[in-house]
Amino acid sequence: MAQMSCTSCGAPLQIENQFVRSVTCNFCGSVYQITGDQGLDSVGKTTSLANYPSRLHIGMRGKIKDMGFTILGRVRYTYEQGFWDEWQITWDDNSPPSWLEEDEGYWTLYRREKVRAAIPDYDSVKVGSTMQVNKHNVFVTEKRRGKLMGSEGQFAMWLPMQTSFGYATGTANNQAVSINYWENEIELSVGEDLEPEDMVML
Amino acid sequence: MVMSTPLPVLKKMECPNCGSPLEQRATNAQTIVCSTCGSFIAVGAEQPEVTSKSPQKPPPPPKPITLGAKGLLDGTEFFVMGRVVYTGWDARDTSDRWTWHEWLLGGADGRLLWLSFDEKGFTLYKKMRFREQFDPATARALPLGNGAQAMIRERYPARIVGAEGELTWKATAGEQLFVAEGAGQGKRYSIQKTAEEMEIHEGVPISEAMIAAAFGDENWQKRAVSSGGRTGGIPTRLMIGILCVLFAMIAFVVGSFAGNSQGNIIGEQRQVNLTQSANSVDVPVNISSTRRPHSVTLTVQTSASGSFPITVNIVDPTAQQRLVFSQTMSVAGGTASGEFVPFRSGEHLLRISTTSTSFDSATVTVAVRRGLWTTSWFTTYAVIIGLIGGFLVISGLGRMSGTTKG
Repeated sequence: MAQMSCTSCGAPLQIENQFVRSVTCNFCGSVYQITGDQGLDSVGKTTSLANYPSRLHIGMRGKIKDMGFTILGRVRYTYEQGFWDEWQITWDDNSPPSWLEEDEGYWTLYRREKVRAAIPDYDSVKVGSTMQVNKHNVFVTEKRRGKLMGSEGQFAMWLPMQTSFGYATGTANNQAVSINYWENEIELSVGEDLEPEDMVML
Repeated sequence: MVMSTPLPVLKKMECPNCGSPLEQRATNAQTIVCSTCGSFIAVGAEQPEVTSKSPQKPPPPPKPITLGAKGLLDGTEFFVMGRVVYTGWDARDTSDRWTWHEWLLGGADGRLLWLSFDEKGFTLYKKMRFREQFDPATARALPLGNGAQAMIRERYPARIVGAEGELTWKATAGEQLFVAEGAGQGKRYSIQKTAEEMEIHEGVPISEAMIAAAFGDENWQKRAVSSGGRTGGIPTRLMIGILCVLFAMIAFVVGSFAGNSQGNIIGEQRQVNLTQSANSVDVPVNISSTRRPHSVTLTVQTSASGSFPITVNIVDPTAQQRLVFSQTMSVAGGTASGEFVPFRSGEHLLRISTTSTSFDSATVTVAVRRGLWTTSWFTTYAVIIGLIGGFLVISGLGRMSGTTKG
């Protein structure tokens, strides 16, 4: 657990584990990328989410299907018709962190999947159509552009501080599939719907 | 008594339009509708902002469900976050419009439910995931997985015409969407599509008495129970359609009897013989009911070696003759019938004749019945009213599935 300081306000920044690539100062909202030499690169500021009400909070522990986890960070994305929150969780068994997404109170646990074949470009994606992504035949149910609005905590990725990004979500074999079209990367995640009894907060 | 202990206020702010105080109680609220000025205010960003304003206040709730009220459904506590009023319309006839209400319920477990109320009553919806590709604009059935399907009953455009309370998306007054409604496996399905998103919700009908009980409103529950536990009014067009179909069925039954139920007005069935030399026979018929259809039935047995044409005329008391029917019988004979409407009462003659030369004799059994109503009249009426009724029933059933979520 490395201890650093926010270069903007001097508040302490504590890096929780080896997966962390970004950290947000809880006091001033400054966002840092963690560089290879364990240094900090300030990449800008986001809105601090500390004052936005939520049922979960950073540091909260829980279990998903008996696998223990801790909430590491929270990021809020905005889109034209609203916003959504994603929670970065880190597993007790040290497996790579996952994202928890809540939609109308229904939780989906996303795990990243390597892109193994060409993915249709963002402009060609159409809501209501089907597209092949790796082995998944994805029925596209949503296509929008989003933007990072705020964050708190730590993340296993560099936070997308760019202006906006495209994303498409859909369903394949009763699994959720999410594709984020970042500026320099396409990120594919496959999600599993969680039943209420699957997730227990401790 | 409605359970109405208010939820704690999570955040206080002012309406950017009129300055009225606003309170956020739901953690996942993205819109708060100002109860003073009707502005739709987006929350969740750094500053609340007005996204739109409803030109008029939403119509009052059709049932005593108030914002913030708490209840218990399926063992899960919930509270009423907000209400949205939608109007849908027939894309081919925009004057055909209907309105329904949806309450957004926030469950204690964080899940959101939509309680919809329309002309068919209450339906409780929750979000689900699409199982397979589905086009709400054209598909006849919604795949539910494992080969199961829900039939699509109606599709139509709709928009938000009013709202109150807190909503979990950045709602705007007048927001438009396309809706498809289906039913199957004992459940109802509502699909909403915009250019950016498609959503599907699965619903179960719930009686009004159960909803009243869920809110702990004993008076409402008593009223709902005393009204027969109806979940809502039956759509007018469905009710009319059912009545039409009922009348059509009655008409068919009555019609099937009508041709046979009236007594033979020439007494017992009369038997006459036609021969080569006497190829025309008159049967006296005493008519008492004018302007009412009468039926004539002939049963012919013949020794003809070829087809056997037979003609029936009715001769009234003034010796005016009118054709009742003319028919070619097969070699073995058979039955022929026709109808006439007498315009005079009194003694008539039923003139039965043939021009056939290929027979020795024919035995004709004659029956004349006073048909107060005729089978054909009933059949025609039944078909017309049945078609109208069928259309109204299908349309009404489709309308009954007219619910959706935001």
